[in-house]
Amino acid sequence: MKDNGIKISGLSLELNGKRILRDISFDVAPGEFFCVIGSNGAGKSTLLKCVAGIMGGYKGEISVCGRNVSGLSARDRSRLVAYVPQGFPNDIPYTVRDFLELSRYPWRGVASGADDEREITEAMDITGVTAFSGRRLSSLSGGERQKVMIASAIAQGTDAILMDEPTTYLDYARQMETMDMMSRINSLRGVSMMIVTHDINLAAELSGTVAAMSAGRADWVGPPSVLFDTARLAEIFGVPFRKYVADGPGERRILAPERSVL
Amino acid sequence: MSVRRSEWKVAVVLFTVSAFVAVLAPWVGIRLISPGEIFGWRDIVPAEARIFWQLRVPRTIMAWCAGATFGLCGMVFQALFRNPLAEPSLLGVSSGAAFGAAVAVRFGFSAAALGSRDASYLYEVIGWRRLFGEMVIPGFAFTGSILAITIISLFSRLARGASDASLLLAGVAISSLFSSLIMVFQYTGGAVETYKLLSWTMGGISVVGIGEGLRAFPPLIVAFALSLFCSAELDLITFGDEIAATRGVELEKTKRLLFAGTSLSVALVVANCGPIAFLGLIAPHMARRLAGPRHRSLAPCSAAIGGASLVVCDAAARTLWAPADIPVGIIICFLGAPFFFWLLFKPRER
Repeated sequence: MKDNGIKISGLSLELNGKRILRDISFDVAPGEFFCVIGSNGAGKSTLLKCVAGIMGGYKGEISVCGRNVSGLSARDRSRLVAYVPQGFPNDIPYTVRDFLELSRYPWRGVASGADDEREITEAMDITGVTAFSGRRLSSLSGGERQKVMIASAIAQGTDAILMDEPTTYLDYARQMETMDMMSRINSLRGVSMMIVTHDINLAAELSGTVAAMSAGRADWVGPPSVLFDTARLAEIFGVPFRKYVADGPGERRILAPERSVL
Repeated sequence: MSVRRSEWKVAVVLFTVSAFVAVLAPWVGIRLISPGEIFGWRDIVPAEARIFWQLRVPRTIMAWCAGATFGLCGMVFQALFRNPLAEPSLLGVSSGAAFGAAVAVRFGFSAAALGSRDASYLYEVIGWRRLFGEMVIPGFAFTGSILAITIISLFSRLARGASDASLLLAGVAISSLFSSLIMVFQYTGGAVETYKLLSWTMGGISVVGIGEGLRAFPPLIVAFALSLFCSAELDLITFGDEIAATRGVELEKTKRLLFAGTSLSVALVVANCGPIAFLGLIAPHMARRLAGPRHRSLAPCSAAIGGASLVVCDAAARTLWAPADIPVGIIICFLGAPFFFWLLFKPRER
């Protein structure tokens, strides 16, 4: 398998005198599904933006596929990493199809028209956006737009995909769909995935490795089984957690803050 | 990225109509000129032929090119600022250019481009200095427009996430700053100079001779080449900085190139015919309705509509109040104001 992992070593970032990231180091193994969890303001999204190359000025090193991200041109970087932002402007007049074609921008002059077409079709198939590919983005619902964003990341044909809280604004059905989609991309295409999320159950179900951040530090990195340590969760999120065992076949455990009403 | 057939059709139809308008316009005026009078299947009338070739044709060329350039620059501004109301004049870039040109005129670097024929005669005599003289006013105008666009883009960067309205307010502030400085020049200058500055800042097209008409091409070529060359980048920038940067656009470089190119175009057009407002707003919006949002096809359509609009308005300006030849900017403003209101109050496209 080719080395499409992400290596982060000694990453620190200061913005307006405030330390946002403090000496973060971990590796996302090639083809791994990697989740970053943590409370608001822990620096998760900033970390992701550094890897995506839209945030610079940090100390330390980030490399994707063995190449240092900060030294790459925007185009070279965009052939390695795709980024799905958390929010997305809702006034875009382009059609879904237009957007997917534009997502092939980093490959202009390299890939043939047939390559582009194949990648776009595959991205639409995986995400199920084919049915509304002729509609304008501004006319789509939040859930549909999220799918299109993911489709765009796939069409971009990268070795790694970064997503910033992909399930946050979605209802339950859409959350499940999105999770299925993400694991399909990961297993079908062998793409390394780095997902920032609040959703510990998503992290527990899908990820190979989880990193927990608080106050700009990566507190620990390990297999998702570590998540079932409620004391640790309490430490990360600052509220007591409880573990529930679900009814029905199979041993399913669910983690939730103690006060939450399910 | 490919251009779809339907978009091509729209662009071709618009260009044909636009060219048709431009071909028709020189025959219309205080006196209608018939083709026979020019091409001689009746007697060629020398006076009519001179009016036609020396005045109306160059003026139509100038009007079409200026209108097309404003249309293109407006389109680029709307993408760069992600704001449907962005336009060179409303953001103060035109007044920046006008101020620069006014400085050049007021301090006597050159009066040539503002229609004083004695001055250009002088440069003719001096010979090699003629070219230099030709470039002084555009050069000053460019400095002014770059100044204005630097201020406005600093503002939009500092006030990140500020509303559409606040960007426009910043534009209004810049505009009024430069306008007030121009007014100082107008008030303190001599009578002739003041009149010239005044009618020029209203936005009027006055050219004599085909040679002067050709001045209209450089800004158009710059704007056209740039918006076609950067069409995919403009498309991606419409999606926001984060999407554009992570889809491979060198954001800083591209934006700098586009800002510099459009400022240059605006400055050259303003040096030719004064700041003409609203065209940069009207043309791309109409084009977007017809051709869709993709810049590859939006650019030629904006140019075609901008060009035809200014040609029509200019023909009206030299005909309606004949024998007075009012600055075309007045007519554009008159028509543009209600359009602006419509844009402000129409529901955002979904």
